[in-house]
Amino acid sequence: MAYGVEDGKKLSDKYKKEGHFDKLKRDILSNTWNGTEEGNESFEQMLRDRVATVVKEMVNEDEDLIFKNRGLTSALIESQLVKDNYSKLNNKNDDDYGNDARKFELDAYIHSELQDPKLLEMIKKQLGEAAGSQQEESNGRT
Amino acid sequence: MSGYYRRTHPSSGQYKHPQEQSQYSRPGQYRYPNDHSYQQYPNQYNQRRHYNHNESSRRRYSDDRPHSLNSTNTRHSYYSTNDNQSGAYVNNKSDVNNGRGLPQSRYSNTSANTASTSSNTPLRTDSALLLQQRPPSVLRYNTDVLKSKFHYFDPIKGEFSNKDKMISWKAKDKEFAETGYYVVKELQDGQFKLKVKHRHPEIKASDPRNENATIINGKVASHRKCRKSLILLPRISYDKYSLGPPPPCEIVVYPTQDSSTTNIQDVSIKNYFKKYGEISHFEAFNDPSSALPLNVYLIKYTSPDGKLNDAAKSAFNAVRKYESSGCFIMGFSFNIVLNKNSILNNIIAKFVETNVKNLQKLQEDLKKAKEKEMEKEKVKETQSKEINLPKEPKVDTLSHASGYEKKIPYDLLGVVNNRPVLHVSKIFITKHGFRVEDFKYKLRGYRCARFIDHPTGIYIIFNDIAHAQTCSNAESGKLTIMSRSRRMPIPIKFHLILPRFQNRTRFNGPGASTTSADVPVEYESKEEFIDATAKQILKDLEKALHVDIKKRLIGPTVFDTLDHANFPEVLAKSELREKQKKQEIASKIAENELKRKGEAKRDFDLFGLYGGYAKSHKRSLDRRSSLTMDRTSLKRKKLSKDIKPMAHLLNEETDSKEATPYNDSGTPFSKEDDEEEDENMTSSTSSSSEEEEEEGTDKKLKSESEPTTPESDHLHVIKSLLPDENGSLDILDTPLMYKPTTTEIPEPVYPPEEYDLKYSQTLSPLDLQNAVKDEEDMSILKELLNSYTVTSAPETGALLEYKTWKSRTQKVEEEKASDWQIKLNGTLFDSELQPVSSFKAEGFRKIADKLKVNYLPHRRKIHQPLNTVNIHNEKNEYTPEISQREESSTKDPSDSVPQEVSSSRDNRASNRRFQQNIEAQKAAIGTESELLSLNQLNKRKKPVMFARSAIHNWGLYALDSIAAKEMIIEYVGERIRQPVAEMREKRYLKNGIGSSYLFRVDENTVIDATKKGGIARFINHCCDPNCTAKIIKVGGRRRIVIYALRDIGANEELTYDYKFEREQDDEERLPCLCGAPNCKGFLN
Repeated sequence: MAYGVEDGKKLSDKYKKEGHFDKLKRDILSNTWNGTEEGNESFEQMLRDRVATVVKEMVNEDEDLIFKNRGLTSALIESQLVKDNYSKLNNKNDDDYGNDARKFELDAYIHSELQDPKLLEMIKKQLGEAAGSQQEESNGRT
Repeated sequence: MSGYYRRTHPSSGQYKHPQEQSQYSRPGQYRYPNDHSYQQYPNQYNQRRHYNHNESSRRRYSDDRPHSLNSTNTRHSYYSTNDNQSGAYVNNKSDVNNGRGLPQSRYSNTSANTASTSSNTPLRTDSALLLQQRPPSVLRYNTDVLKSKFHYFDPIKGEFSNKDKMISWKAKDKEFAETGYYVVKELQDGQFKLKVKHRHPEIKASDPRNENATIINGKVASHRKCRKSLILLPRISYDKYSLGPPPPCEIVVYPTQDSSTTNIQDVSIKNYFKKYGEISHFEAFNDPSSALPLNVYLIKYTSPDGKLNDAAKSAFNAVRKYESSGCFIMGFSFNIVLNKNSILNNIIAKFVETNVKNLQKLQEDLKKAKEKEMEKEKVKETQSKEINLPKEPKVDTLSHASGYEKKIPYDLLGVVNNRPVLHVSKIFITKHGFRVEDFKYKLRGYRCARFIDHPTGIYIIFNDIAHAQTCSNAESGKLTIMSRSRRMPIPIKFHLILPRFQNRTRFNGPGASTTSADVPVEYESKEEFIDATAKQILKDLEKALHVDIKKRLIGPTVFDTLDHANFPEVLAKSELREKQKKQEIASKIAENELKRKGEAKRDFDLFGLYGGYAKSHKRSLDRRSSLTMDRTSLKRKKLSKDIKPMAHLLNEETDSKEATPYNDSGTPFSKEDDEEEDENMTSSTSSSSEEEEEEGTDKKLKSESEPTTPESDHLHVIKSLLPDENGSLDILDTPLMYKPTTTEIPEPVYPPEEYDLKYSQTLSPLDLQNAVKDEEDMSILKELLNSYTVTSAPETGALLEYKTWKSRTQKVEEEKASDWQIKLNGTLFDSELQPVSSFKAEGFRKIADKLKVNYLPHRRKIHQPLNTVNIHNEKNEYTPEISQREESSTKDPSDSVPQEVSSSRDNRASNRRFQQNIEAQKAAIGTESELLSLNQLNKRKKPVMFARSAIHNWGLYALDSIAAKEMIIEYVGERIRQPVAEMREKRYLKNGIGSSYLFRVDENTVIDATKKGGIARFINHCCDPNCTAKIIKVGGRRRIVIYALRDIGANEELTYDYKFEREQDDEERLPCLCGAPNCKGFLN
């Protein structure tokens, strides 16, 4: 049996609809920050802290930031942070907590998380189930 | 037949039977066509001549008869031997006569006679038929007496009746020449005379024209003008009596040359030929093969009023008009031809044929071009195979495009989308006025994808390069489009723009996208499929993660962290800074304050006395200085805010506190004081904080109440005041007039006298007396007089006293006179008019017109009505209204608003509407009611009143100011005819009505406002008028309306130029009293 692109799309849609995709996402974000002392801190929390510190630094550099339009300024800062694979978030970490030896490499982290073979296996398994059910459905219909 | 008788006529003289002759020669009785008889006659004649061959050829038939009579032939034998025809005649005659039994019929005779000349049996039967229908004819005067005397021919018998008595003159008289005579006109002694000459039948006749003719080239040269064409016969108009087919009333209009591009509308052609007559039928013909207009038109004229000839005439006229010059309609030449026979069909056939030929030619050309293209491509293919290059059409093959690469404008790139394009430049197109439609039409044979009209030209897009190239090769330089500006076909060159890139962009459609690498992937096994899907999901996951991080995590966090609460130390810092700034400001203010206080203490604040003049200037200066000190914007704002309220506060208070009039107070200050003033000013106004403000106001109040003393002891007072502040009590006691004023320039206590203004004038004793106004003045005067040493011996005693009195009285008189003059005219009399000595002593002198203006009455308050009786009924209308208004004002305020007399457009429009309304009502009522007749001019009337005039007893005055060109009033009066007007004029003069209120409208209409009329009649004449009278038509009637020539002020007298005709008689001339500078002196 040959599968086309359309089938793939259908399958992935089904997968997403079943909630696996969101669950995966949530898992990744709420995973503990591996390789650190403060293991109980989740990635999400880490990220938040990180961003807060960076922003505070920026504000310290330029106090006017907080007196300006808040929405506009936050949007500008956000875009600055996201720029170049979150380079700002990463680098600042090094500078400020140089002795900490802890690198906050967001991009790398996500990459590694996604490269995890376990994850792939899990997805595959779930996909297989989904595909099976889909086929059944289609068979049932026909 | 008649011809026959005409020829026989000469013989009648010999036989002397005129009546019979006339009877026979009557035309119309013969029912055969004329030509028939003519054909018959020569035949007969020839035969007869043949028979009488011994006779001369010139002899006539009529001559023959006596001759034949003479020559042994009986009449019967003559006929019988004549030929078969005669025999036939005889038989026929006998047939008719015997068969029908109508022996005496004249008709039968004649018919028989005619039949004798004809050999046609059908004709004979015809006559027989006719005879059947006709009543038998009877010979009149067929008595023997008459016969013997007059009749020489018996029509029934067909014989000469007195034949036996006839004798040949030849036999009788030998003295006459046998051959006879002829009469000839000959020139003799300069006169034409008739001459009788012998005939010479033996001499052959010759053409007299040939005798004098010179022979050129073997041909007889004629003196006559050579005629190249047939002379046109006069057109015989076609009417109901006309025989034959009706003349053609149709014309065919067709283009002189084949111009299929003419886009003349049929209507224009029709209209063009409408001028020759009424068109009953108009038809435009199309090419049956292509359904394109051939520009061939058929126009049929009709005769509208039953005049049969009109149609043909109009058609004929139309054709003849353009016969020689040709017809040009909208720049295209046409031929016009009467539609005879099948001209129309021929023309159409011709045009159709040429069109077909053209089409064939075009097709052939196209084919050739395509073949060429094919060949070229083949060649190219072979070439490309050799060089192994991708097949690509070369631009260089196109002659026009070599070395010239056009670019598609940027905004068209999307539309063109890498397709081949033919381009025609805009300059070329606009020059000839081409349109996209022309190209669309012309290139309809090609597979053009799109035509684009662009500011840079017309772009024709092709989907295929090959199509574009065939089109370009076939049409570029060959295709002609009719230029709209030059009216001639213009060859058009196309620039082929080839696509730049091989790949079209994605919006080119599905064709392009399929070529790319996006080939549908097929998965062989389930694992592979799931694997791929999982990878896809991972990709999606990554994307989603990033989006999530950005939107859900970073964004809100940043926003939250930016909260003020997160930065207490920063806020604290900023607050601190703010505070510092404020403190700085405060300290600065305090500093200023101190400084000012010090200054104030050091010096008496004189400035405080004078309101706030020039304060704003100082303040702005001050502000500037403060701004330089503290830079922050916040501060700046605050400062300006602080400063603002001060000024008006001060002003108000000074105004309220100082109710004294300006001219009562103040004395001039010295320079010193001014300087001090300035300093004080700076200190007093440089307040910038609230406390300061209060202080300042306090100070102001104080200074305002601070007194000043008269100039003399000014310094002293200041000195006394400076140390303590209770001096203010003293100052409050000073009289009002010495109190300080708040004017820019210090004013003297007393208003300036006349002698102050004119320094050159010597002071009269009276002036001196008046000049000393108070004790201070007196003391100064005394001081001055003390220092004055008398140089000359003073006049003493009564003389001095008298002189003083004299001068004083004179002065008083003069003043009185000038007062009157000013009261009268508003100005003094010109110096020339001032009496030097007594008027009597001066005697008679002429006063220039310019000077007259000084005292002529119009100058006296011309703008105000002289207060005499100036109440007109209009005025009376106003007054009760006012009283009513006052009464009703409490009840209904809306009613009380007086009707506004405005001249705006709206007003006039509403008036018009009102009038229409009235008119409609009038129509509804149906009867001509005077009640509803509306004078529309009344609505536009301006408020005017009449009063006594300076020009001539009554005048009309404007109550309100009137703008130039506005209508003021209508000159209303009785409308009378000219003779009545003349009569009335005389009567009025007789009755002593001197004023003329007659106004001429036109030659025989005059408006008389003497007895019945409006107040417009009071308008006086002026040589420099401010109004003009215009005659306008309202509802078809001429009316006189006065318009403003220039802007007229309220209470100004209205005048216009009466424009009386110049009177020659001096006694009749009316003097003009207008008094204008350019017055002509007379009205007429």
